[in-house]
Amino acid sequence: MKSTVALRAGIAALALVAGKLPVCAETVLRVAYQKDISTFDPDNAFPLYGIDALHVIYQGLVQYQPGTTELTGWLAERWSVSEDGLTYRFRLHDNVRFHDGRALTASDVLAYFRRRKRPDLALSYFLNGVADMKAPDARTFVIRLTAPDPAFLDRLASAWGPKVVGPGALVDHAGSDHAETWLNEHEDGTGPYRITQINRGQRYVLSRNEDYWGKRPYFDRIQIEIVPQMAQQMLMLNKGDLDLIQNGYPFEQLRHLPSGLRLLVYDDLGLEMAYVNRSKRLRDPTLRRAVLTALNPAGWLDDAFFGFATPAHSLYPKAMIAAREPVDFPSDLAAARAIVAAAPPVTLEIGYGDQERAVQQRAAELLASALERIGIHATLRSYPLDQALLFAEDLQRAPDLYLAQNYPDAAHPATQTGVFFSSTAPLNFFGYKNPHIDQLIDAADRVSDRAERDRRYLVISQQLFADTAFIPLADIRDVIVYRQGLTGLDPRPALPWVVDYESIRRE
Amino acid sequence: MILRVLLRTELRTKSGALPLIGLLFITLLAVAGPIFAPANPLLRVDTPYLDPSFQHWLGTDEVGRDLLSRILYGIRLTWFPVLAVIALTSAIGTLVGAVAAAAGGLVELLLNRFCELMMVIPATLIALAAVASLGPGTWHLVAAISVFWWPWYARIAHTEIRRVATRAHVEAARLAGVGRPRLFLRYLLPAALPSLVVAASLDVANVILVLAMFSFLGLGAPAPAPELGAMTAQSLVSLTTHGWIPLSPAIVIFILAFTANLAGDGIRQRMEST
Amino acid sequence: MFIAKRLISLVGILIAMTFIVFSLQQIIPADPVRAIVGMNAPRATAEARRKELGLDQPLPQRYGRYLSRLAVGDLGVSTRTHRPVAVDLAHFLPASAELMLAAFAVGITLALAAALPNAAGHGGNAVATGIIAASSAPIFLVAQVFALILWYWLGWFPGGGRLGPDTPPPDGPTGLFVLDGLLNGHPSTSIEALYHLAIPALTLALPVAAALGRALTSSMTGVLRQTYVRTARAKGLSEFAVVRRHVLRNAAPVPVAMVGLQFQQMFMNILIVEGLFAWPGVGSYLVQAFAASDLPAILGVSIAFGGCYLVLAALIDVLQALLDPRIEAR
Repeated sequence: MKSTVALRAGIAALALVAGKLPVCAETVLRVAYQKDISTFDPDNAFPLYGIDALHVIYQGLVQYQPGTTELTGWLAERWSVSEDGLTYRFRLHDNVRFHDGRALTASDVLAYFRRRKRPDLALSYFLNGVADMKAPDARTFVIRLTAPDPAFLDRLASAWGPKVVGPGALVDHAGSDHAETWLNEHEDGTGPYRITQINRGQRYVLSRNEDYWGKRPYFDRIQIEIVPQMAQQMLMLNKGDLDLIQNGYPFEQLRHLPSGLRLLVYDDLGLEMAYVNRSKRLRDPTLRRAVLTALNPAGWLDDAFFGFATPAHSLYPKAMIAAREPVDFPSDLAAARAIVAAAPPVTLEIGYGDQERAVQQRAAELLASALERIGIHATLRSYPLDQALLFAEDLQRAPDLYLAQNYPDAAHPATQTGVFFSSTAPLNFFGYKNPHIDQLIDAADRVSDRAERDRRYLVISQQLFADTAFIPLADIRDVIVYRQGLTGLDPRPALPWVVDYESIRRE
Repeated sequence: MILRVLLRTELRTKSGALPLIGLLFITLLAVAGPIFAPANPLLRVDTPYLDPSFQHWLGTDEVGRDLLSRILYGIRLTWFPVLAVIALTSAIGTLVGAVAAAAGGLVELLLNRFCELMMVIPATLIALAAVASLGPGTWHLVAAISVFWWPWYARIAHTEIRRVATRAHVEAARLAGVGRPRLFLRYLLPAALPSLVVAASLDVANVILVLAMFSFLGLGAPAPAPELGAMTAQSLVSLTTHGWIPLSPAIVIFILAFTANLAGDGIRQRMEST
Repeated sequence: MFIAKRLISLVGILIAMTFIVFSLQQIIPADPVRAIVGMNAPRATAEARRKELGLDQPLPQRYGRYLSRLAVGDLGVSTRTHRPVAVDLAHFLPASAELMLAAFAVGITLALAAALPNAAGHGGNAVATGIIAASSAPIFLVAQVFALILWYWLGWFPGGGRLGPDTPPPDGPTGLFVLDGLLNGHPSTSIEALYHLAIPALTLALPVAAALGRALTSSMTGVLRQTYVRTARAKGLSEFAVVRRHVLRNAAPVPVAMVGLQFQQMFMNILIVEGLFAWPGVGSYLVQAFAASDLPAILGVSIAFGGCYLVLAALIDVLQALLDPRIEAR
């Protein structure tokens, strides 16, 4: 009796020890998300979490180069645009394989793009301007637009842009919903990594694709843990249970980094903006200008972001359009105070978005303090983005100011105006309608020459600011905190919170 | 009358007196503390992350606000809402439970089931829904908590009154012809009061903790309000570098709850020995 | 007869609860369609989807449809995970169940260990005060202190998750990793799961232990004073027999009711603990559902939990009636 007990105990102990021994020479990168991935379907995945995973599982026709907003080929080796700007021809690489081994041909790309156009998919609007598509031979893919769209290639390179899904999904597992259900938790891509473990709410594991057609990435595995608390992520990073934190590291802690950790700071396309509700307490334009004095980021930016933000130069992120001078805010506090004193007493409600809520909260608090200094009392309230979308329906119940950091779809200014400033823009929270602005936007969208286009967009920005409809506040810098020894992180402005797993390696 | 006897016996012993004096002190702090707070708890007054010093007894937090001032205001933001919840829920609960027990029959059945219904709806859902619709705020939270907190008192009142109703002396009174309202007021209700007083005094600590929890989850007053739970949540990231910033509010909550619990326990012991 | 009546009222309350929970949707100002199509999608897409899902119909109609689906177990599809809520619940529930079971087991053990000797006269005030202190600590303080000491500084236990990063979850039938590890022949997985359970379960066990301990000590001391216990002692029964036979039996009804209260309390605690320890249970699921305005998930979880609690409450009522013959069911 006793000997078998001892034997079993011994085996259990051995198993425990064996389980804890590291597998020989396997390279693993450990990262964490604060929120769970919603879906692995590249045509439905609009949230910000999971873009880094999708970026290495699936690939699009074109992509942005690391650290820039310049385009380069991805699945397309090269491309050409017709004279009239309507037809795009893409020449595909000839050695691309899907994860199930099938070779990629232009007809696969065509089949995928047709699927992306389906209106019940969340991201189908990316292809709204497409008239028709063809695959004349195995390596050529042609798209024809209804009207010239200088932003089209940027849309293709967007973090949420079309990324080719193979027939292993779209044909073999089409089901009754064009593989929508299957692609939630499976994949058939062409990228350097494939999904090998899905444990919803806890962990996702990506393993290297050994038959990848491009350069072999360094890490065998990418391990993604779901850790909702940033405090916990920080402790794990300190202990070595995590290799990097891609976003969310508190700014106030960046000056107290423990040894062994490094910082990578870069600019992304998220602009911190204040939206103004001009139908409620801020109806009076003079009062609005007084509020602008308090809103001046020079007065509170460093307190909010501890040096990791710069005042905005326009209503476009600096990585998108680099305007030369900062925005001209009124700076006469005494005059502002006088205006406020002369007007009837007013209490403003400041709403703030919940994208990186702690940061927005801090900014809103400081804004409230600044408003106190000119004599306006302010209350604060957090509004998740989808609640903010209901503002326009009832402007009297909506807050007076709304602070948010939102991301355009891509690096072209047309995606910024189209998402925020035009009359029909989905994130035009307070429903600002100005036909003249719409005309300007329309005209600017058609211009191909970069300098001319930027000039026109900046004019739009100045007019919107003069009208105190949208207030550009800051370009908040993104910070990646990582364990020393890692290199090749290669973030891109147009891909928020994304570390390039294809190029990252340990020295 | 019961309370007078209770307090007298309670204050006579040291173990009974101390927690009550503690509660008195806390009330004093809640009322007067903020007046003596050295700085505005909402504004940045100095460099962030300063160590405790003569200027700032508890140092400054991650934004540069004086931590001591925030905690003093935080005690008030905890204590008054707690008392409000207790008062509200015990009153409503006792009423409902007593009526149910006294009326009997269908009324009792319906009220019982209503109690159960209110207990069943997940508390967090109500709080989250209230906050989502009304907006965050301490008093919205008080309302939300009160909605699902009173059934407990109703149950106690109900059980106690029913238990007493089966006792011999009540049966005797009923047989002797004592009218129902008089029976209710002089026999049944007073018999339930001790349990209710004990329950309420034990409950104070629970409400403190529940309020702190919801505040920690972000459902209380929005920043920069110095609610103790929210303060801990917001500064949790500083735990390893400046640990006292998230830990002090949490420890203060602990002291409040502990004092309340000791006082409540003392009251319970007195009640049980009578 | 009592049981039958109880069951009928149970069903009645269940339906009332579903209606209240469903109507709470009206109050929560979230747009369920936007949760599906995303923020940047044009208005036309959103409106088309709204019509397709029937979300532009009035409340009673929507409730009716919801109820009819509920009757066959269809809790709708989560707008965040794109899976049926029932499937999500089946996935996340075992994690919470394992945590709660572990917490209750540890908590009850601690409570008995503290309460029994105390009631019999040993340990005195120190134990009682300790129990009171334990029930006064906010759960997030307890969690952080345990995590700091047991994980961060001493490194005895892992600080989060259900399993280590290199261990795949067992395929087992129950979803309880400790059990499944054994059933699938991977005892090391079970042991690892136990290690990961340690700190979260300990954190959750503390309020349980404290509340039960207090209830047990107070009801036990109350009972111990009563006449028949004195008589039993006079008869010469050993201390242990007195405690076991009379005290526990009569003290039981109060803690039994407490378990029900603990259930509600634990649901709240679990939200915090699962968040702090990256535990993928129903608490995390609910928190994420709220953050993403995932109404079907919010409804589904609330109704599922409300239903469980109702059944539990009914069971407790029956149990209490059986234990205390003085309370007669009318």
